[in-house]
Amino acid sequence: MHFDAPCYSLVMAVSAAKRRTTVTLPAATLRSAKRLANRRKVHLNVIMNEAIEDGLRQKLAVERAEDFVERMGRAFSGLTEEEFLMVNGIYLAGKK
Amino acid sequence: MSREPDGRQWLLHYSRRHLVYVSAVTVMERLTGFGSALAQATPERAGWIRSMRDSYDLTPARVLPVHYATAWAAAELICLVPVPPSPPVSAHRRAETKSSRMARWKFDVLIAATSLVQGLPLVHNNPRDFEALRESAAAHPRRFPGLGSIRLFRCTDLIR
Repeated sequence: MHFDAPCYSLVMAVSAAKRRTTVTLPAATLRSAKRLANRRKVHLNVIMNEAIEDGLRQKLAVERAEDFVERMGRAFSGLTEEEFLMVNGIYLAGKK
Repeated sequence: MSREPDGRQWLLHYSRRHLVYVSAVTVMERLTGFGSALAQATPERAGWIRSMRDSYDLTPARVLPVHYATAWAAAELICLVPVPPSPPVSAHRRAETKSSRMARWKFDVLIAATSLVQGLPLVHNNPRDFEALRESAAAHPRRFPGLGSIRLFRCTDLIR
């Protein structure tokens, strides 16, 4: 989002199971969301909910990926050559 | 793959967009390896290995089980390629025993069968063995009805 654009406040009207909140959006973002809502003939809330949920899902996926790769790195990078072979299912026999 | 910086970068890039799947057989192989390394480690080293094993937590990955269809496809693959194409690994005048090599081969066959049954590409670093399985399955499609083919990606090719 670009925060240098003029902003508008948007009050999200919601059902009982949801919560009402106020967010400040760049004018261009709000215009795009309204355009999309008109095109799809749905309420602006639907568009905003979808956009926020998609964004959060993406952010969580990135966080999970970073955590996963970091832990995989920690799990394998400190192993000696022989330990690494074992972790790969290779067991060497004979005198060391 | 996760040992090399380029491999880690690729894995990060990929797992940001897609779920990573791991075979339960791979998990068993890795955890057995950590356990064996732990059994041979000095008390000081054991602490490090334990923490490395704890890091091998696949929570964000999806672990694929070995169910009937996987076992069935693996049995077909073993009948087609009963002996591993690559020789036992050796290093510093020590070598893998024949029985250990055969056990590892069966695990690789189960991993290839999991990929075939799930219809997911298999990222590997063992071209000689997995290529032999892919070719055999492709040459005998009637033995794997409705399963398509084994799709392989070597990790060193992915990070180029």
